[in-house]
Amino acid sequence: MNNNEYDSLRIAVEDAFTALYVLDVGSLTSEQRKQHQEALGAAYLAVIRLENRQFSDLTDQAMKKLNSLADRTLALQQQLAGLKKANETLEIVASALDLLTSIAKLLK
Amino acid sequence: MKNSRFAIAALCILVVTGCTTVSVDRAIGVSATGKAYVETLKKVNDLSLDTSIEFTANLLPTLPRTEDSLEATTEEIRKRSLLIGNAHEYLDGLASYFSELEALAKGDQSEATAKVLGQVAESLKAEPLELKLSEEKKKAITGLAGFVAKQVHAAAVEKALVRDADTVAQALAISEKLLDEQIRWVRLREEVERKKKYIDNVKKPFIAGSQLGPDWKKAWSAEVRTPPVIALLSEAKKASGEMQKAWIDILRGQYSYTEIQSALKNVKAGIEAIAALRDAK
Repeated sequence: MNNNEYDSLRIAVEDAFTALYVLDVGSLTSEQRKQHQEALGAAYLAVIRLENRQFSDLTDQAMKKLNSLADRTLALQQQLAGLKKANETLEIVASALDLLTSIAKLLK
Repeated sequence: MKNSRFAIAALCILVVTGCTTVSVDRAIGVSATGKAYVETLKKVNDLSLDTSIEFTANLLPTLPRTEDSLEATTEEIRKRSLLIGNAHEYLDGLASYFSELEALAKGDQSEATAKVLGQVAESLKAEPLELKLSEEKKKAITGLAGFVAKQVHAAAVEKALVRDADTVAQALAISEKLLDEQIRWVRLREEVERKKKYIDNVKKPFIAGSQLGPDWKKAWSAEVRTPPVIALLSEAKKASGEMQKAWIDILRGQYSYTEIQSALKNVKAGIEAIAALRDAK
């Protein structure tokens, strides 16, 4: 994974976080709100770890693993593009919760 | 005949003194600009940490209330705090360099000052915080010693510039990398907060057909204007590019720092005002 690819992955994660942050929680059911909290927490942790990681080197192994997650992350970014209803956004991100959690774990 | 010899001698003294004054002024000017630049970067450094902490503190109560969630997020912000502390130290080193260069230019051309300047330059060679410059960038700032204009600077300053040309250029490039990253942290948080405010305070009441009073107008106006923090940081970024250019110009024996000085002053004052506003909340 080169610098540009890493940056694209970072932008995709930032976009997922933004979509969750601005989401209108008022229109969600209580179960969906719980899902939203979880997804928002995972996305923010991935964002700050990606930010902090700019100041340290990733191992080759971590880079390879991150590379294997890049396609799914970029697909998530594309799915979130454009106007979406709150529950649609949530559905898209919630289905990728494992992805955001994996990214955050890799960067720990 | 005697008078004309005297006049020529006086003229020579005037020319030499004039040139010396120019060379001293030039080095003092770039040193003062360098110090102001570092001071500004330190303000951005502080702002980036404050923004991260404040944003996270506001976000945490909306996240899952589990020990794991709290600890993981808190740990990352603690790491960030350490990174910012290390960045401060590196920037202090760069500020020391410009202070010692200023001392040298002002006439303290003692061995001790020259030695301290050399030591400070040496400490700047270590790439801080694992911030690495691309090979392309490194190549672009290698060999700047050859740019040092001969007999334009005071002898001791010229010697120091030849020795430190690449190192300081590299330190300035690294500090820009740090600045880029910190601007990104602040920008992301400012932008998401702005988007959220737009949805909650502008879009929703507008579409719902609610009564739109002064608060709505204020929120809408705030949305269409460039946010002050982003504008300030863009100015800081511009000044960073100009500072790198000024360093090369000073090696060549040119002046090019007066405009940057006022831009830096604005950015620093702006960030101080934002910090004061936040503290007052």
